[in-house]
Amino acid sequence: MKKLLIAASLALTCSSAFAAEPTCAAPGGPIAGPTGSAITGNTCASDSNLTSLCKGGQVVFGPQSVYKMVLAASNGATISVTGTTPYDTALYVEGPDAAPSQGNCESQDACDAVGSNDATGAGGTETVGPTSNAGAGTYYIIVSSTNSATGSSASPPAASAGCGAYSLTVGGSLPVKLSGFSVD
Amino acid sequence: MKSLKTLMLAVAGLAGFGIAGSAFAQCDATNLSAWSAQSVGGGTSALSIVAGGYDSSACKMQSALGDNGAAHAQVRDDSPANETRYRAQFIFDPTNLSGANGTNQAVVFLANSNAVHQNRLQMVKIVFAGSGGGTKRIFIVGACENAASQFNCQAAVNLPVQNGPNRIEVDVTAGASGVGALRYWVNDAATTGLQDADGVTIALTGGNSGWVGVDTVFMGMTSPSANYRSAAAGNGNNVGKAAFFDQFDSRRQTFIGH
Repeated sequence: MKKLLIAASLALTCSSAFAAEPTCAAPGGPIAGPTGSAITGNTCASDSNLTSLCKGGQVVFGPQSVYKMVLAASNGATISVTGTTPYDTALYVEGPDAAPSQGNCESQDACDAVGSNDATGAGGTETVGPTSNAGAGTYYIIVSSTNSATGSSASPPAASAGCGAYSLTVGGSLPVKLSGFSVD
Repeated sequence: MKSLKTLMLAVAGLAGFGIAGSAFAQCDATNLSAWSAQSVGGGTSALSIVAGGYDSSACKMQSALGDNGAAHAQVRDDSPANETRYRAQFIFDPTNLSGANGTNQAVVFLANSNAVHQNRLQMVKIVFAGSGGGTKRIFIVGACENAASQFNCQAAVNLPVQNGPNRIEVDVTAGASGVGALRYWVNDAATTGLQDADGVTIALTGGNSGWVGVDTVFMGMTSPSANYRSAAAGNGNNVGKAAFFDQFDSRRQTFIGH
C-alpha cells in the first residue's frame, strides 16, 4: 500500500512538473474580458523562453506563460498577476491584434494600448489596465520576468532561470447596458 | 527604409540664417514625427524633446526611466524591411547616468528581426552599463549562432566621453558563418573620429542568417536592471535621470561616418 502511495505521489509530481504551460504558439484562453476568476500556473513548466516582448522593444527573460484575451468595444478589464515567492513576475499585455487568427505574439504587437508592469519584487502583484480605452480586439497576456539583477560588468544578462508559480486574474467591471427604465 | 532620419527636423532650416537655434527652435514632440511610434511606460518613465542638441543640432531627445523593470521610453522605426545590411548611427549622452556597479544596466538601442530565432528578435542590442569601477560603458551585442554564449556575440566599449555626447555607429550584415558580420564605431560626437571606414568587428560565431534581417528599430532607454534602478549605496540610482539622444541616421549600405 505504501509503495502504491509513493508511486501515485511521484506520478502526480511528475504530471504537475511537466504540465504544459500556454505559449505564444498555443496560448491559453481565450479570456473574454473581466471574469474575476483566477488562473493558476507555473512558468517553470513553460518551454517559451523569449528574450523580448512588446514588438521587441522590451527585453525580458523567460520562461513565459501566454494567454489570449478577446475584448469587446466596451470593456474595463484590469489584469493582475501575483507570483509565489521567490518568483518575481512581470506582466505584459500586447495588442490589439489586427489579425486575431495569426497567433503570433512574439513580434507583432506593441504593449502601449494596455501596458506592461514590473513594479514589485518577489511575491508581489503586477497590474495593468483598466483597458477601457484599449479598443476591441485580441490581446496577449504574458507572464514573464525581468529578473534583471543578473549579468555582470563584463556582460549583459543573457538568460535567466526566473520562473515559478503564479495566479492571474482578469477582473474589473463588465460593460452594463441600460435596457429599461420607468417612473411609477 | 528611410535613408536619413534626424531629430533636428524642425530646426534644420534655421541654422543658415544665423539664428540661435536653441533660443527659437520648436523643440517639442513634432520633432519625433519621422518615427513610427513612441513607446513610454513603467513608473515615471518619460520621453520628450528639449533644446540643446549636439553638433549644430538645436534639439535632442531625452529619455528617462521609472522605477519599474518594464520601464521604457523609446521611439520606434518600422520602416526597415528585413534589411540584410543595415547601418545606424546616433548620438548618446549619458551625462546624468551613474556608472556605478557593473550590473547597473539598461538597453539603449535595438535592431530587431521580423521573426523570433533562437528565442530572440534582437540582431543588434546596445546596452548602457557600469564597469564595476565607475566607468560608463556600452555593450554592443550581436545575435549569433552560438548556443554556448546564449546566442550573444558582443564587445564592451568604455564610452570615450563619460559626461557628454558619444557618436555610435553599427553596421550589421545578415549571413551564414563567415558572411554575417557586425561592426561598430564609438567616438566623441563633434569633430573627430568615425572616419575609419573599417570600424571594429565583432566576430559572429556561426553567423546570423537565422535572423534574416533588420525589420524594426528602437532608440531610447528601456528594460533597466534592478541595480540601474536601485538607490542603495553603490548602485546606479538612475531612476528619473535623463539620457540624451540625437541625430539618428540609418542606411542600407553607405558608411555614415562623420
